[in-house]
Amino acid sequence: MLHARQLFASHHGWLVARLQARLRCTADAQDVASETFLRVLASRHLGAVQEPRAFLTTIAKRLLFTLWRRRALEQAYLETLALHPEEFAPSPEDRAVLLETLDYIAQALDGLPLKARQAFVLSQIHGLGYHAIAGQLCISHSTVRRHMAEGFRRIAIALAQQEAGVAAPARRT
Amino acid sequence: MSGAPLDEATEAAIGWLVVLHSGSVTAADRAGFDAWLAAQPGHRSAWERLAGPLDSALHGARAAAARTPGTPGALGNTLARAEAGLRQRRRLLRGTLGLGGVAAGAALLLAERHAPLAQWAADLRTGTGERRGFALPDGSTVTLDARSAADLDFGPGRRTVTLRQGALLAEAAPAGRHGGAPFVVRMAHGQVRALGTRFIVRLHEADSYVGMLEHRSEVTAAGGQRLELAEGQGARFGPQGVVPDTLAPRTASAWRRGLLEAHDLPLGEVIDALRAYRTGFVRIAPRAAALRVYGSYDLDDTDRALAALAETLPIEVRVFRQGWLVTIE
Repeated sequence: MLHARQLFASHHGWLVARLQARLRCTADAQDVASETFLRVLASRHLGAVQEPRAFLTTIAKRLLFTLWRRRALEQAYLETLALHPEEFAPSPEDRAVLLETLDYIAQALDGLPLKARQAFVLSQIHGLGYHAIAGQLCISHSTVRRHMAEGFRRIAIALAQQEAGVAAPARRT
Repeated sequence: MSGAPLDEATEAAIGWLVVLHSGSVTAADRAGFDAWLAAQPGHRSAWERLAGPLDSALHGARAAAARTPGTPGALGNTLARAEAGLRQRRRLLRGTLGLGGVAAGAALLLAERHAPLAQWAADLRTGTGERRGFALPDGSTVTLDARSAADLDFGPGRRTVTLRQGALLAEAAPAGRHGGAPFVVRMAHGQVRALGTRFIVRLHEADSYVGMLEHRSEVTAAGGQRLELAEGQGARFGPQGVVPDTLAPRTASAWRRGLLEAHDLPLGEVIDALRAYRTGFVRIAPRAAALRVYGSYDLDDTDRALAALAETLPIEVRVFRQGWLVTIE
């Protein structure tokens, strides 16, 4: 544990300062820094890290992005809902569930093309068939299949990682 | 998210998920699925490990979506709407939190990198648009990406591949069969020592990338900094030392499947990758080179890839002399 304590003592201040300079929000910087250290300390490869600051930076970036994605989705969802007539608006409970699930999918499918994520949502939440999805997204039927396979694959990888206890996607509330 | 390999039963389960959600499942599909489930106990457990958690993760949202008809595209639109802002933030992150600092010795490294036409005399080499696998004396194999070159130094106690240009994917045979000599890939920016493993290495102008597809390896930058990489991890190494990179090894090795996968790559790098698959010249304006690209592009049909880029980005692609010269502005 000495190594972990050393790591914290020599780099925590640096990381907070670094994040703060960028975020202009002290609370966010503190949150992300704390979460970063929690992740690093839980990592099995701690002993092998040669460049702790580079390692911390990588993890902090990932967390920061998770936080931003969550907020961006929330904002975008509200904007999208505002475009629809009120009688079609989901109840607050349903909204929360849909947003949570959208974030789960966005995180698991991070890095896949936008249309792949959209296809996955249309299929897995709205229950659309591939022909309908192909029509809606203006892509071919075979592309939909490929996107779906890649999407399921990401989910399988995320589940396997969760099972192995690696980087379980912690929920921020 | 890493490209961690999945076992065969899970891969098959993914295939069945794709079939069963198509919206047009035939009786034959059903029978095939039932037969697969019954064929081996491992099949059923792989299916349950994947489909079970997926259903419980999505169950609530499916019910919620069913209660609110009339807004089928809303969630997809939300993803699209969130995308633009996130892209910008991701770029911001890359620029500002990255570690700067350039060590001495860069000039020396560049001298080796630019050794005139070294690749023509190389032991292994590929031409434009060519990908090729080579079997090595110890049972290892390397696959070279297009326009790549590497030299071999194999003998008692030595298993060294020197990458001169481009990229390679190495599948190292275990050390035991070769007098215990480690399998090493060298290049101007440092070296990668395999600990029984499959990995990909790409040489760039200023530094190199390494991504672990299987097992582990140890990366040493030319300046001596070292980092051990686990499966699914990638790193850049060069004058700046060894720095973990978020580019997933599976993405970085997509060329092996004939694809270029761009997840927030500068257009300049995408064009560099296409150049190796294209005869003639591609000129790109600096402002266009800085645009960020998302998507998968077919390396074996660069005309189509260029057309796809022109469709999605604010650029103008002009083709002269039957494709010998392409300008992007």
